[in-house]
Amino acid sequence: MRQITSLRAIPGGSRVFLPGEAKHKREVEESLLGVFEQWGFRELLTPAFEFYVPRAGSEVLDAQTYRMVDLESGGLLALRADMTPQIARAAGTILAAHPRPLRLSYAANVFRHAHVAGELQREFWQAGVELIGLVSLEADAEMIAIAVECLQANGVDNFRMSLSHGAFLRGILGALGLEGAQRAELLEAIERRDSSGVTSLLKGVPRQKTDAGLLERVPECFGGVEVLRGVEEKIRTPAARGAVRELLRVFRILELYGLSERIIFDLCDFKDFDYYTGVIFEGFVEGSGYPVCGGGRYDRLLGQYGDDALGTGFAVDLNQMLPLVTQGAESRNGTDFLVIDLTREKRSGIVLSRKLRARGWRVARDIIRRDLAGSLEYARAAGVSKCLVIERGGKRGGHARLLEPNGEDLGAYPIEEILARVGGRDENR
Amino acid sequence: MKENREKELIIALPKGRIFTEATECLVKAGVLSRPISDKSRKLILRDAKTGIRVLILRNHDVPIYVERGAADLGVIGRDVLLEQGRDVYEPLDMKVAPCRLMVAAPEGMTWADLTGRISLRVATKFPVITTRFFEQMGVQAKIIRLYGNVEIAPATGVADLVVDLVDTGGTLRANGLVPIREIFSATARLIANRASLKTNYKLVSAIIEQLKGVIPTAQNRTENGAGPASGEERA
Repeated sequence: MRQITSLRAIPGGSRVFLPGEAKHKREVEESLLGVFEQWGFRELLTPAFEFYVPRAGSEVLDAQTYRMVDLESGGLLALRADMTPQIARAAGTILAAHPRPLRLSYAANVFRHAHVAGELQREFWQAGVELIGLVSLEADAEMIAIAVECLQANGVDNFRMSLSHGAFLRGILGALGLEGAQRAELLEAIERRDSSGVTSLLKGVPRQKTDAGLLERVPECFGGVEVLRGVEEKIRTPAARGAVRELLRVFRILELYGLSERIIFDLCDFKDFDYYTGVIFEGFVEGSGYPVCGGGRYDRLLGQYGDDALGTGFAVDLNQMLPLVTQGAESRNGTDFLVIDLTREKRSGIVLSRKLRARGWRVARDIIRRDLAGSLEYARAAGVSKCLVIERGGKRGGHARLLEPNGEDLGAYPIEEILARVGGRDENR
Repeated sequence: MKENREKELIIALPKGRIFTEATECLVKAGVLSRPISDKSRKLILRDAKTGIRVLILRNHDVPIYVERGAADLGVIGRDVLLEQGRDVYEPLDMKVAPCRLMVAAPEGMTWADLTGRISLRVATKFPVITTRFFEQMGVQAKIIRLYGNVEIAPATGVADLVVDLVDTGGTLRANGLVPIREIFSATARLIANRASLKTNYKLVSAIIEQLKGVIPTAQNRTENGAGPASGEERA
């Protein structure tokens, strides 16, 4: 085993958010929670720990789950790898008596041992919603509309929502009686959109009166709503036909939202988690290979937590989202004023800082004892906008000198005049 | 979002045989208006007529450029895709640049002789595929990752076997080796960035359709002796 030789190392796949980045992340999270709140969702905080219970159908996620020995019981604990089961558990237990539908939101980190673009990633930040206790295509469409708003609220525009349905491939594969390794290999080929691979895996599967022929062409079934209309007439499997019809109806609702331009259909998408039973979707931004958000209907999951209700939801992946959000970048950069008080008693500096803060400005006091040149050098390096210097033996009655961090002198003024000039931060933005 | 008409697609191609054969297809399909050469010193070429840009890359770099969205499309051998396991779509078998990955052993040795050994050392440039293959065969093997000319590994005592791409088999024979098992045989694939396929689906599917009209048929390939058209031998 590789020896960790330094106390300074951080395990790969998790990261530090530097001051500007941390603020960025919090602003985006707050913007997302704000959108959720406007659609009537309320935030739920759940624990990072849970009991480790492997779930059938979640083998992929299970293999990525970090587990540890519970020092209390000696059993196994897991770090949460997915928020949806956590919310579902709360809905089915402590919130069981609350009126349906439940609208819950979250912003949290989940832990997985996964590789993204060939790099190990262990900590994923997500913000999302779950709408529980409502079986309706209206609810499915609402998820997509909220997801669109989440991206637009953060100035991300070059994206499309890619829709599919959990029952489409499951229905066809089930009707063909494909199981085990053959089913897994087929799904893998479909996931790669590998038509020739699908064809060779379907060798020997009867064509007549089945959807095997359709399955061969499925890797090409992506595009606008015309793709669904083309497929609808040809499907023989009732469950799969029902899935396509649901997608068509969701599309009609999304047209009412004015979102038809944003929507594409890709019937190859089936998602890793077996718990998705209905409409599923992912948001893709041009120029990035990974979805920025995704979710769907999971009607089977909730039953496991003692509630027969049904649910749908989605999450925004902040690891993907943050680099796409460029708006508000200038406001994240550091401090508005650095107050440099060269007097002995420091009273004026404290008062001036307090008054500026009361007007909404971000103010740091240069508390370290150093000369003016040293303070200005610090201001430049730290990205401070303006410096206010209270000079030793300066004019009485509280004057301060306004300086650019590069040393340019903007003049000395009475403190009251400075406050009047700068006004409140919000008026200035 | 309106389909962006000014969007110019970027295609990543590896220098060498795939470049020659893939650009031939792209020209025939009208995706490129004229032939281009991988000998160009300029590594990003733009076709003024069709607006397509081509990145000239090293073989192993093509998938990551496409995965990360630096290129919308690419053409690459199945060997590289299987070895790297990248998250890209593979919407079209281009039926060009066939390659065969084989297990080869010193002349006179059989598969049974070798797999019966307690410690079997296999030299290869494809450690991931090789590991998976031997695991599936239930054979414990020590994989020795080399960067080229793996054929000399058995003669020099570095390994017992090699796993390598075999074209005519001439290099193997010259080094006293014979192929004893095929791991797979396949042709180069068109690969696509996941977001690009979805956000530029009209442009991307148009290119796939154009290419489909010009790719060589499976029959031609078998006549050329490029191995079974069905592709992989199931391990």
